[in-house]
Amino acid sequence: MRVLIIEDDQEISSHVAKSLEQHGHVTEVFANGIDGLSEAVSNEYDAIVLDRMLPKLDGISVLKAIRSEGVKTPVIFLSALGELDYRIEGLKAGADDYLAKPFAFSELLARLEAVLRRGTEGATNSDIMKVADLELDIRSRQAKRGGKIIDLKPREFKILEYLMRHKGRIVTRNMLLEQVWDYHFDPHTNVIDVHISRLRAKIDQGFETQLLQTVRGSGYKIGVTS
Amino acid sequence: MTALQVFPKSAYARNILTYLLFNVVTIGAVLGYIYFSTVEVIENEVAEVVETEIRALEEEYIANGLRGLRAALSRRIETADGDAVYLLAAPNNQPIVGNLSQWPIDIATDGEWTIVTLLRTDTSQSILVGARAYSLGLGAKILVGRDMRARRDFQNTLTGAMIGALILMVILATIGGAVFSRLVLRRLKSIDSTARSIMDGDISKRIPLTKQNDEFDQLSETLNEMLSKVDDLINELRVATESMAHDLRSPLTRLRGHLEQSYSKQIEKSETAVDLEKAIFETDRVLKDLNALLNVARLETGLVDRQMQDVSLFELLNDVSELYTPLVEESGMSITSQLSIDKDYKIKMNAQLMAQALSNLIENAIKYCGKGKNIAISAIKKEDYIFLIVSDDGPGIDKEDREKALERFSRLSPERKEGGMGLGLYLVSVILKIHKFEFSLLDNNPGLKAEIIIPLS
Repeated sequence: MRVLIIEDDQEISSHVAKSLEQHGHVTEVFANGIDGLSEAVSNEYDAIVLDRMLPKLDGISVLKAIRSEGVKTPVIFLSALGELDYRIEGLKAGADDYLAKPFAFSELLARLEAVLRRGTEGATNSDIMKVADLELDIRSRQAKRGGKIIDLKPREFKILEYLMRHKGRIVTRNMLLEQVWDYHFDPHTNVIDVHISRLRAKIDQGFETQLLQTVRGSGYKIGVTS
Repeated sequence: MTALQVFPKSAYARNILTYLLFNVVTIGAVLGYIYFSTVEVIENEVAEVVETEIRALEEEYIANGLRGLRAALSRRIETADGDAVYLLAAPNNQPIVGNLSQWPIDIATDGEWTIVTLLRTDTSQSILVGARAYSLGLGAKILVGRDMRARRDFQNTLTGAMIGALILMVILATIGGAVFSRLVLRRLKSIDSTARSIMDGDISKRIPLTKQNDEFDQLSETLNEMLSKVDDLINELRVATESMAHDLRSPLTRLRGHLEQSYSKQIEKSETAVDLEKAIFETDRVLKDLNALLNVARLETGLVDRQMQDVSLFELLNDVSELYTPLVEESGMSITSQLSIDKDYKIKMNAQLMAQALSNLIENAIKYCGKGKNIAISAIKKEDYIFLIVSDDGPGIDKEDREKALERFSRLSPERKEGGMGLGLYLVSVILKIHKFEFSLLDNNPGLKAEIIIPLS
């Protein structure tokens, strides 16, 4: 997939580009707002990574201009000012996700893949989601593995639903905290990990194939390891 | 803040009282001076008149003897107005001529001005008389006096008038003081309300100026100038904060990126991989501290979204406690909540900030308590307040350290290695200050009790 990176910090942009390329994506890098904007509206991209503070034209203005040109490419907004108001400002201007610097590249990658899928697959709207023999019925709010009903608490169901919507892809702790709890602050404890290990005990215990996997240094993933 | 609230009322009363006291003392002194000088002058005058009269009578006596004196006295009694009192008496006090029935016992014949009560023969009533008495040759005595009733009446009228004047004075001074105070305080109030808006985060507010260009306007202008300076400084801080964030976080992000890249190239659990993992962990810690610091700074200067929404406190507390229950249990502790508030009861707050404050309190309890301890969350409505309490039965904080625990960069136990910059409880207090919720740390006997008082009005 083609990803446009508009970021004035060369080292960051080259790292983002490098790690995206390692994962099979194609990247273009622009270091100022004006050049980035003209590239975004003149060429097709699958996703845009956009920094907030840019020379010549700031990120918010670039984003607004992109959207007013009718370009619907998913945008992940990057900013060193990771506060709530900037997140809201960014999302209001039309960003699809927001990531505060400093970020782990794995976090950016996970979020980028999430918005990329959103763009191509659209939302998974079918009532039943499946990963191997794990089934999740959104309508009846029931989880089954190997035909056996798993008793999940409402929040555990939400975590599992979010993981399954992004099956095979990494979901970070922050993504879970934001999407499942709607909390946008950084807890100082491994509070999410404990929720995951409880969920794992319910869906994986007693089964040979472990579906809920921990991705070291990044987050979690549901799927069958190849 | 409460001092400011009480201030106008008491200053108002104090102004009036001071004004009143000053007026009463001044006017009282003036009136007293007038009173005493008037009364004294009148009395002295009477005494003088009597003295002159007595001298004349004495001369009459020397010239024409007792007979001449008697004739003169009789004449005088006939022609004198009702106020004059005369008595010529024999050495045995037997009256010879006069309008007094008897010689008063308590008057000396030394010519001194004396005030006595006497019975007049012509009107047969007791009266107050100011008189002088002399002994003449051959033992006869003469007394000349004046009925002092008129003077007393005048004195009474004067006293009445003065009391009236004083009462009028008090009323006028009270009204004057009230008007004056109100004028002054109204100006102060406009300064106060501006200061309040600014404290609430609206730094752009300025004190309105009147067209009078008086001292108050000059003060307001000075304050407005100061506010503009402060505003500029805050903006500078904002810019500095942002560039500091940019300057520090970008290299740290790059550093983290390098570490991540190298880490991904290592074989898992190799020595280098373990070292890199540690380095990433430490980098994250520095980043977290930096984030926390910037967060607090931005919250304090009002640069963060402070939008308040109607939030169900019940749900907020449930969500936060549900988020932490597994972690608390994993740490060998327990968490209980007792919420005696209505589920649909909405309170104006910023849900993100409040959730963060509560999560900080719970994480703090987890950090310092240890196995077997319990964290209790409760919310109770009492009159017009909700008492929201997060307590534990852990080691608690010594009374003298509790205040300090809420300060920025306070770490009560320096030997602890868990890190953090001591911003946890400070951030909580900043968040609650923004909400105008009262926050205090109390003794849970044993343990720590964080009490948040939410006013419902």
